[in-house]
Amino acid sequence: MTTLFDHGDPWHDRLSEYLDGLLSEPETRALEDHLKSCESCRAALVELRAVVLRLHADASDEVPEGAWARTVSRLPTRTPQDARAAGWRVRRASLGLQTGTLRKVTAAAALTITFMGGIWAGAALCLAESAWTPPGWMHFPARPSRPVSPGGERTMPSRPTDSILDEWTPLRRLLSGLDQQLAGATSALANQPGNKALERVVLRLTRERDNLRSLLDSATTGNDR
Amino acid sequence: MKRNATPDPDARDVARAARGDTQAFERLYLAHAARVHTLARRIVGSDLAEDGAQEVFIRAWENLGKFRGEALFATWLHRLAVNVLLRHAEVARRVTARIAPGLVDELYSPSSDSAATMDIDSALARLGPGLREVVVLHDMEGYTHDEIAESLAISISASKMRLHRGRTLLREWIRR
Repeated sequence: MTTLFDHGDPWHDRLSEYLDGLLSEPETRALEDHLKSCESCRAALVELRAVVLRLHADASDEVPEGAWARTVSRLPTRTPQDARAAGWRVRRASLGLQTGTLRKVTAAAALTITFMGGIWAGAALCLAESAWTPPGWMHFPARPSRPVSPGGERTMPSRPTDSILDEWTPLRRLLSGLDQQLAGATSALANQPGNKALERVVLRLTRERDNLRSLLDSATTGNDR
Repeated sequence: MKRNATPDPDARDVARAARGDTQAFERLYLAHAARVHTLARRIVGSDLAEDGAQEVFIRAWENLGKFRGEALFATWLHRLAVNVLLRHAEVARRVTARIAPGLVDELYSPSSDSAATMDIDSALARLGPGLREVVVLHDMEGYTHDEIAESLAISISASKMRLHRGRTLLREWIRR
């Protein structure tokens, strides 16, 4: 007997990964071959897609009336010591410095000054005594320049980006997902004209997509504040 | 992790709120409350959503001094909200299990009432421990499996498995 999660079909458990585009190329081809002959997996795939569409289309909440008043009444009082400590940490953060960094910078600066000071003091003494010429390594080397691209712009080393570094990345990802889902739903509606449920899904997805796009546009251009 | 040089639109209010300025904190609240309330409703359910959102902002107020500006404030707040709300959901589940153990089985049983059509909120509320969080974070908040695995301290394959199970249960419950 098969149950919801034990149906004797290993491909059934991979349907979500297929929907999300997480299967490898060979796995995708194999699953698509399987779908041609498995009606149960085809039906499950269509229904899972509908579930994901509904989850994506879930609208954002309005903030309940009076919620700020209820929240502020629960905020603990900040002591002057807390505020001073927090203020210092935030100011330091705004400069991009952390305790460890400050220590390292200070130590490196002290060592450099001591080392260079010693060398130049020695050189000055030698010069005072004789016509000694300082060796080449004592000259400050020319400042190395960063590689310059043919267009004249400086090329910066590439850094890995992480999705959580940008607060809007999840929304952009959601927008891209909405676009894809909307295309899928529109195509399904073209095959089933008059399907009321699909019409509602297309309508709602379009509205959500447009709202999200205008929100992102205004947010990323800084016009929403 | 350092962010790139995008200026944080909340930086000034964060600095003021960290020194105890509640008006600055109110501006931060107004800018981010809708997103936090939505997340709270999805993770802890409609009944506990406002309480969960309040908890998030209280924790934010208490921890503003630890905010180092390495990420945007909105990102920091969202991560804090996910952590607070996941704990909130876990506590609510434990309390329910202690005072009415039968209710937990009934609430989280995939077989009961499976034929009825449910809305997304009710269906999400009935997803079992661990499943709702993964479904919400992946399908509604746009997290990747890597990020979910890190937030919930589970493996990536467990995250994928829970997502599929969650979607499968929702498919049964909200079947047209």
